[in-house]
Amino acid sequence: MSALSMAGLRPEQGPPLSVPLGFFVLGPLSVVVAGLLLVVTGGRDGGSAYSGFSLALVHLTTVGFLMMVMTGALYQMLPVVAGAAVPAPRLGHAVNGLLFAGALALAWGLVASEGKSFLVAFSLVLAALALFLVPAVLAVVRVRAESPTALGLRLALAGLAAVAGLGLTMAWARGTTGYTESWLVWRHAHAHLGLLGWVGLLVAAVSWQVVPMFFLASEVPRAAQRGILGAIVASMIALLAAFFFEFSENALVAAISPGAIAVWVVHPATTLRALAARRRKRRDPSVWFWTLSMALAPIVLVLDALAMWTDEPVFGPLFAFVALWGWAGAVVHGMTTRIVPFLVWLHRCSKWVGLRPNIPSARELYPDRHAALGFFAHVATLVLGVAAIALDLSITWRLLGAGLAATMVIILAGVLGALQRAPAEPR
Amino acid sequence: MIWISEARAVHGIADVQTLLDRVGDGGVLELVGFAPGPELSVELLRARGIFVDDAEPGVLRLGRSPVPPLVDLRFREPPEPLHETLLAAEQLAPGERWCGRYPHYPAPLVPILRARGVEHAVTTRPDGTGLVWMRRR
Repeated sequence: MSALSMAGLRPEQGPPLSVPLGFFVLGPLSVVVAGLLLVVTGGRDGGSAYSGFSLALVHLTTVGFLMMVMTGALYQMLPVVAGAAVPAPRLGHAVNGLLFAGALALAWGLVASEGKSFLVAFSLVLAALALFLVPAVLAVVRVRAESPTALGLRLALAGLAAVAGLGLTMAWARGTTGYTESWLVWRHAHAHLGLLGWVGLLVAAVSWQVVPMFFLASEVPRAAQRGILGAIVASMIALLAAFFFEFSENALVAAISPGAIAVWVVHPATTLRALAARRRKRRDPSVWFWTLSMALAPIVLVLDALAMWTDEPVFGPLFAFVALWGWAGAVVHGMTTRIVPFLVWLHRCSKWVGLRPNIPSARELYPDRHAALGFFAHVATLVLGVAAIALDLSITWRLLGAGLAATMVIILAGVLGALQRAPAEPR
Repeated sequence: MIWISEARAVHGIADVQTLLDRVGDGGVLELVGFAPGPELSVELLRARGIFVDDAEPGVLRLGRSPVPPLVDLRFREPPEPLHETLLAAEQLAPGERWCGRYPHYPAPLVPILRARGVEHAVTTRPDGTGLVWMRRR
C-alpha cells in the first residue's frame, strides 16, 4: 500500500503580499524614467548600440524592470514551485529599493560617463544581490529539486549571480581603470549570460509551471525541458570561459549558440504548441503576451546573428530592443497581468469568500480590458521602437519614450487598481 | 479524511476494511488503478455494505457512509478552484462532506480551511492531481 499524504511537505505560505508587489511597482517606474529620458532628450545617440545613453536605457530596462519584476516573482515562486521559502522575506523591501537606486545610479554613470556613479551603482546592486541571493540560495540548497522547473529556478539563480558578477566587474572597471582591452568580449559575454542564463532560463522554467496552470495548456515534454536546460547551462559555462579567457569571435558564437537556439527557437516552439492545445480557448490578453514574446524569439536570434556578423550598425540596437522589450518585456508584462490579480485575490479576497457578499474574482481585480490596453500599448511601443531605431529621428525617439512610459503606467495602474478593488486588510 | 492506495496493494475485502477503519466514519478511501477480479469487485464490496463510487474509470471511491461525489476542478483557471472550494465550505451543513479534485496539490487552501475551522484533508494522487476532503463540524 502506498499512502500519499502530503501534509507538511510543502510550504503553504509565500512572502507577504507587499514583497512581490513592491517589485512590481518600482520595476515599471525604472522604464518610466527611461521613457522620460527619451522624451526630454529626443534620443541623443539613441541609435548607437553602445553609446552610454543607449546602455543607460538598456540597464534601466534590464536591472530596473526585468530583474526587479523577476526577483519579486522569485520570492513568490520559490516556495510554491521549488518548496523553498526564502528566509526573511521582508528583506525583499530593501532589495527592491537598492536595485531601483542601483539601476538609476548605473544609468546616470553611463549617461554622464562618471566613475563615481559606477562605484555607487556597484555598491547598491552588490548589496541588493547579497540580500536576495544569499537567503534564496540557502533556501534552495535545503530542498531537493525534482522537477525541471525547480531545477531551472535554481540554475536561474546561478545565472543571475553570473551575469551580475560580470556586470559588477565591468562597473568596477569603468569606475576605476576605465575600458579594458577585453571589453568587446566582456560585453557579449555579459549580455548573453543575462539574456540566456538569467532571463531565458527563468522564463523557460516558469513557463513550464504557469502556462499549463494559468492557461490549461498541455505540458511540454520532460525530455524537451531537460534538453533546453542542458543547452542553456552549456552556454552559461562557455560564456563564463569566454569572459575569463578572452575567446575569439568564432568561439564566442559557438559559446552562445546552444543556449540561443534553446531559448529563442526550441522553447518558443514548444510553448506555442502547448498554448495552441490549451483546453479553454477564451479571449485572454495574457496569452497574447506569451504568443507575442514566443513569436518574436526567433527574430531575436536572427537579429543577434546579424548584429554579430555584419557591420550594419542598426542591428545592434534592434537586437537589444526586440530582445528586451519584445521577447522578455512582453512575457514579464503578460505575467504581471495574471500574477498580480492572483496574489491580491489570494491575500486579500480568499479569506472572505463565502463569508462576505460581493468579493471580487481575480479577473475583476485586473480586468481583461485593462490587460488588453496594456498589450496594445506594448505592441505600439514595439513598433515605435523599431521605427525610431530605423529612422533615428528626434520625434520617433520622443514617441518611443512616451510609449514606454505609458505602457508602464498601465501596468502600475493595473497593480494599484487590483489593490483598490480588493477588500481592505483588517487592522 | 481521505486515503489513497494503489489497488494492486489491496488483496481483498479484509484489506479494504482495514483501510476503511483508518479513514473513519465519513472518510473516503480511493483505490487507484482498480480492475475487478475474483478477490475484489464492486458487487462484492456493495454486498459487504461498503458504499462505492465507481464513476471514474480505474478508480474506486469507498466509504462506510455514502461517498460524496468528486467535484472536478482540474480544468478551471486559478484561482477559480480555490474560490469554488471556499464557497462550498461555507455552504456545508454540519456533518456534510465535500470532495474536490485539482490540477495539483492546492497548497494555498490549507491555511484558509484551517483558519475557518473546517475539518479537511488534502493529498495527491499518483498522477499528481490534488484532492481535498472537507466536513463541516
